[in-house]
Amino acid sequence: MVFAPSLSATRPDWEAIAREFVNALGDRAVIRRRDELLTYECDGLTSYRHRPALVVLPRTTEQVAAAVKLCNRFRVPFVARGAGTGLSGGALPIEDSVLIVTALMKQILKVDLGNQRVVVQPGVINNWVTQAVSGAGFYYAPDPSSQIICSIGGNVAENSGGVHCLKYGVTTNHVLGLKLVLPDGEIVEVGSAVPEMPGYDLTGIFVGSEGTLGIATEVTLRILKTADEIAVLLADFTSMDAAAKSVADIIAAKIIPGGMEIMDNLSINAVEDVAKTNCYPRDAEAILLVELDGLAVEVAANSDRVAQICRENGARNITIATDSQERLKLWKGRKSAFAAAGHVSPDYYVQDGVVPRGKLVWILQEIAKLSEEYGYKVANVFHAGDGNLHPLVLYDKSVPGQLEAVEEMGGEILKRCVQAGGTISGEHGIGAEKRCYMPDMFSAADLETMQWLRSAFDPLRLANPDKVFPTPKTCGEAANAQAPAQRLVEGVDRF
Amino acid sequence: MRAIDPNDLNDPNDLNDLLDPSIGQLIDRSIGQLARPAVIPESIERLAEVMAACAADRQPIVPFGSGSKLAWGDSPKGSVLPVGLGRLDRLVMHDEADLVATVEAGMKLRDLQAALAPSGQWLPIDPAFADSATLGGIVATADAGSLRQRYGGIRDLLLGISIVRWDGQIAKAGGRVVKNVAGYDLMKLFTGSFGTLGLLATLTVRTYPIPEQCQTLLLWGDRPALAQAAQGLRNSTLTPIALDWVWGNPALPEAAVGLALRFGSVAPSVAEQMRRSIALAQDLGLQSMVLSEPDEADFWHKLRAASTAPTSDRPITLKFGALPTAAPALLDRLASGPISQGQIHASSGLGWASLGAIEGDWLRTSRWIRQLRAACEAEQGFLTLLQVPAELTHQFKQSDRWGDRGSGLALMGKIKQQFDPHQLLNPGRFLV
Repeated sequence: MVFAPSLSATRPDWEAIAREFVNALGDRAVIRRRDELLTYECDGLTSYRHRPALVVLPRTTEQVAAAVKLCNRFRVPFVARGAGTGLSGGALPIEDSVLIVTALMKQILKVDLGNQRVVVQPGVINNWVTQAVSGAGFYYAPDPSSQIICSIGGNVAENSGGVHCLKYGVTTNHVLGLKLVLPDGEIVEVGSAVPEMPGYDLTGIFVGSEGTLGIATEVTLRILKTADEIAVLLADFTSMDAAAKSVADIIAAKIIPGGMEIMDNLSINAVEDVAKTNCYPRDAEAILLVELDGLAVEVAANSDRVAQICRENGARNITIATDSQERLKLWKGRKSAFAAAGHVSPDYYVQDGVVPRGKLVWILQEIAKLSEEYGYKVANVFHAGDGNLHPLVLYDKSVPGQLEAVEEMGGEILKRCVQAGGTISGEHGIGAEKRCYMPDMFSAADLETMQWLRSAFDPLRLANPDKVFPTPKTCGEAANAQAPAQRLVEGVDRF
Repeated sequence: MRAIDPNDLNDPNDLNDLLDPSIGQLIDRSIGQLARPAVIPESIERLAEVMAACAADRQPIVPFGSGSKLAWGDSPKGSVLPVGLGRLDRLVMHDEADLVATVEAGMKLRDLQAALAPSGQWLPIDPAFADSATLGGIVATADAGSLRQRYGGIRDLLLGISIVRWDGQIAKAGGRVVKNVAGYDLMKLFTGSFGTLGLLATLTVRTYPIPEQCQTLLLWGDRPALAQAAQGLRNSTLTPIALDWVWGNPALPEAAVGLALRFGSVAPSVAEQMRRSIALAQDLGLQSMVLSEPDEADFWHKLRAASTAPTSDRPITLKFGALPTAAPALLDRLASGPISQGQIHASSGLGWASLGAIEGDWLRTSRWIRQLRAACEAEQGFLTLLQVPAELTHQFKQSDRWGDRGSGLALMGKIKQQFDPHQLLNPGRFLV
């Protein structure tokens, strides 16, 4: 994929610009050495790399504003980066850009247990929030698998999910207010510690905007009371259909678990090879993990019903854990699935499509067909309760042509998700990676309307340009490399 | 494009058929002298044509569903064309297994709930004018209610929208799946935008199973003990689906202020939670009363109506918010003010009240409201006068009515300018 500089034809004078940044932020906050810049060439999507011209590490809102104002003065684009764990290339630097890294903004500014609100800087790691309040019996609900390394700022930018979104929602449902540095460097506060402040919901608009509307420098989060009782139920099946059918039956039985996760045989074996949990039977076609929370009496009643549903669908073994160590053990394999895929194959390419829950079996069959057609193995782990798939396509980047082939295959998976009434990203974001598939889902009028919003925030397109939205140049080129350009604008049934 | 003559599209009788009789004269009162006869398109395509024609003519419009909340906000400016969504009232899709439904914006919440009920599902909101309000109007005013304790606001339930833009083009955002981060979240932008950015055409919402059983507990008594109970309940592991401060409510015997808790779950869990709550109340010396189905649903219905439907002695409707811990102090303030009824959602800190004048003195009343607003703002909140009687319209003009104190107003103005460059959409009604 090609990332062209979007603003000026002549290269900026980076020596002069760097001096200004040093003047404004101090020498230690500015990184210019080529070897030090290497770290910042990519985020969690490591197959794309671009060295930024300059990296800055602000510690305060005012420093972020100063950096953004300098970008405005010199008309150079900026890309915000949190912990760099994103999987869609949202923090991938573009050419001749400044990378503004919020990793040093890691203070928890306020813990207000009485009001169940926490205010943090964007560099705070996701699970630090829970750690800060767990002693008093509270937790922060969104829990991406990378929660021990990903930052709240990145979670806000991507509207991250996790394995417990089914009952409690994703990041946007837990963010009440933001302090923002807008793309012109102005500082504004939107939302509050109270929801539904007068005027447009600028907080709701910003969450999930992937760094294209500015940089969040303070985040007000809602925390929840830890449930009385939590139970994790593990069931293994000899067919994927039976596991998927169990998910549908659990929902139909009026039970909303905290999360429902499925792993297929290849994932189970990868995890057992690496994490050695000895929990997941290697001969199972699928395992289903269901977490139930609430009052003990409710959890007991629902566990019984879920176990019964699984048995009716042919589950072989059912394990129920309520003890926290036992629960962690059952979750361990699922949480290490991506890492495990990295161990059993030189490389893996993860997708993030979503289908309506009723289409789970269908899409898995489609993925199996594509796997056969393209000749790459696919390990499936997914948030079954949300219909959110994470097929891990196993390949070897060192073999010429393989990356391109698995990317094309990934694109085919996403198109089928859209066909089924789903979406091309459930929680990883569009970023650099999937923007060329946006026209599969959205019409020109839809995309234009979204751009109106962007124009209100960033008329100069300095904030993370070349992300989220397709541009004829890059998407045309990317598409031409593999297939006729038209394939990207075809498709009538997009919603 | 030739402008559509609204007189060709409707006769006045149609309009009256669509409007809720209980708010009969509302259009006349709120936009009457200025308005032209209403246009009420029967399809989204027709709605788009009407909007395109209005755009070509630079004809400002006022969108409405059933008209129940037309009096919320300031009166629109200029000669406006009312555009009704009431004929776009179809349930487009309900995927029972997927817990999702798509409706046209003019569908009434009551009708949606009736359509969902056979599958044991509901859209868990309890807004104002619950019997007449349309989904479009509920989204445009961000009007959820007590159930947000468990299910969040309407913003948290909205998965996708299609809209008619100012230029008559149809656009969409989001989708029909519960997790979706493709593109900007225009659902959040349109929720609570009061029809100032475009016309909502279809809405896709997340539905939930109706709890197996619901019970409600009312607590009242010594004020500090009540505050302790509220904090104790919020810090407990109980999972009420609603937890409200209520006052001035005839359902509460003896006292003006109380707490209302609603539990909804499997029967043993409801019983256990009721037992624990009653024990807590008894320890604190509070009085209690248990309401079971169907009385308990009726209680919540009437509670919401009392805090948002204006009456002759309580013509002002307020929406306000403050940190949850500020609720007891706000309740003291409310008790010392004019006659009022209302509710404060104990976890979000959002509240609704309908109130009258202090001894018929409107100037004094407006001063008192400003003090209440200052008290909310001191606790990171706000106070909006959704509806005011004629006597107060000059005290609280447009932006002052909404009570915005944030630093985002200029940005909101830029968004409005992008989505409505000629100020055709509900001009003058909203903050922006």
